[in-house]
Amino acid sequence: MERVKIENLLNKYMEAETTLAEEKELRAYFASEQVAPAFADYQSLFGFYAEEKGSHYTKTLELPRRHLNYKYFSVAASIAIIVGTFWWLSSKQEFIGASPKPLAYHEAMQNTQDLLLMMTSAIKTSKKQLNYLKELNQIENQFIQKN
Amino acid sequence: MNQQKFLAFFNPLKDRIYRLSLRYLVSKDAAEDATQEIFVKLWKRRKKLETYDSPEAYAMTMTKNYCLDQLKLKRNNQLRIVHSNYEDPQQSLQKQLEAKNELEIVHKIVEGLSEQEQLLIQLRDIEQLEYEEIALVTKMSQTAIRVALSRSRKKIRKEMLKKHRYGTR
Repeated sequence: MERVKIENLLNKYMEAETTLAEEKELRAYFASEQVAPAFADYQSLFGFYAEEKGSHYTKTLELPRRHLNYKYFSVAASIAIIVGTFWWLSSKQEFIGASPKPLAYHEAMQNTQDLLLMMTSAIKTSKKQLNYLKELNQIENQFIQKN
Repeated sequence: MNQQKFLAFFNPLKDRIYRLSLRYLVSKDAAEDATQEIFVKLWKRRKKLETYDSPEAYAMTMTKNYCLDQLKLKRNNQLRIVHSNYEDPQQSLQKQLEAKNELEIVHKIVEGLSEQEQLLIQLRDIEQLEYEEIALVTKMSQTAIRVALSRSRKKIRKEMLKKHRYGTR
C-alpha cells in the first residue's frame, strides 16, 4: 500500500503536479530509514534537498545607523553664518542705538507738553474772542431796542 | 518603520536569502556578505516595500538580481586570471573520490542544470514556496514553472540513474 502510494506521488512529483503537502509526505518518507530499494535512487535526491535546507545564516545582521546626512550640512552652515553675521552686526549697533532712544523720549515729552500749552492758549484766545462777540451782540441789541 | 519592526518582519527571511545566495555564489563567505548587503538594500527601500503585495517575493527577486550581478563581476575578473593551459591531474583524481559521496553526486548534477532550473529547484524543493510566490519572484507563469520544474526533475533522475549504474560496475 505504502509503496503504491509513494509510487503515485513520485510520478506526480516528476510532472510537478504535487502540492506542498504531498511533497512533504515524500520528504518524510525518504527521511525515514525504511525506503524500498526501488526508490533508492530518489533517496539521495531528497537527502540533498534536506541538506541544503539545513544551511542557516549565522552572523548577526547590521542595519545602517542614522548618520548625518551630509547633503544638508552646507545649508545649515550657510544659515548659521547668516544668523551669526546678523547677531554680530546688531550687537555693534546697540552702542549707537542706545543713546538716541532715551533722548527721543525726553524730547517727545517736551514736545507734547508744548503742544498742550499751545492748545490751551489757543482755546483761551478763542474764548476771549467769543466773549467779545457776545458783548457786541448785547450792545447791538441795546441800540436796536432803543430805536 | 523603525529598525525593530523591519527586523521583526525580515529576519525570518534571512536564511532563505542566505541559501539562495549560497546556491548562486557557492562560497559561504560570499553568501554571508550578499545577505548582509541585501538587507541593507531592503532597509533603504523600506518605504517602497510597504506598497508591495509580497515583500518576501520582492526580497527574493532582489537576492537573485544581486547574485547574478556578483557572478557577472566575478566572471569578468576571472577571464583575466585563468590560464588556458592550466591542468591539475592531481585535482581531477580528488574530484573523482569526492564524487563518490551521494550528496556530492546530486550537488554536481544540480549544478549542471541551467540557472533558471536551479533557481526553481531552490525555491520549490528547498525553500518550499507556493507556486504563486515563485511566480512573483521569477516573473514566470505558474504553468511555465511547473513545466520547467518537471523537466529539471526528470533530468536529475536521468543523471542519477546514469551515475548509479556506473557506480555498481
